[in-house]
Amino acid sequence: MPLAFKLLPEEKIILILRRHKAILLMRFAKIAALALLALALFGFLFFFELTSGFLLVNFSLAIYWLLLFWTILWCWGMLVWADWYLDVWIITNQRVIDIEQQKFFNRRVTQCGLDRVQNVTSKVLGALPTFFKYGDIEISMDDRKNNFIFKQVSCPARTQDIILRARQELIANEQSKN
Amino acid sequence: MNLVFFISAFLGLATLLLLLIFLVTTFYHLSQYRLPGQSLKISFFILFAVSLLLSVSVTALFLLASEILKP
Repeated sequence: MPLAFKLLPEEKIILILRRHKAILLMRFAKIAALALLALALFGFLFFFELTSGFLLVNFSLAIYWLLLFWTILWCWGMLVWADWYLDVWIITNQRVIDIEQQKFFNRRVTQCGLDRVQNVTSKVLGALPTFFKYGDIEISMDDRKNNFIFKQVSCPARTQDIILRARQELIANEQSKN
Repeated sequence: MNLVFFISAFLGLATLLLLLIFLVTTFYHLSQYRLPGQSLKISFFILFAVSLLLSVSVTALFLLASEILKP
């Protein structure tokens, strides 16, 4: 089976990051709210017999439309889940890999050696990120052009430490080899 | 009423086609872009099972509504 990327010799994965699960739950909550709203609307119309003609005449067709709407929401949910699951940031003992899935058919993979990392900034902005402990991490490279941004990952300060420690270890290993 | 059934059938087919495209694409991504050390996720099988259930229910309800299944 093919892999998203191949590990180099002596390369080990230190950390695999995705967006915080709270982000996924919040996106699912919107979909669930729409599903419940449709059910409530259906129940309201049916209970108060507001559609004296159509709904009562063909109950099966009315449920069919409700189920069809739920199927569309299910498709939306799949899109949200796939987008969350396939957006991955990986830190190995040699490089940083940014795999970003943009909707279903666009995919961008960027990778860079840890030795090229210049600066790592973690940001926790807002009430929800503070409460759920997630935030962004920005990694500046030596060329200042290709910056990596890990979006809405959990415990950004801890991840920042891990990246910096991995970078120091890589540089120390390279110096000891030379 | 025929127009209503025609629109319902069209929307139903379009939705099921969309569902099929999403399922195939998700399966492709999960199998193609696997991370080292990870197997094909059970999540996909859950997605597949619920999608199948929804598809069958939608089709059955349409057939029921259009009186094809009625005795």
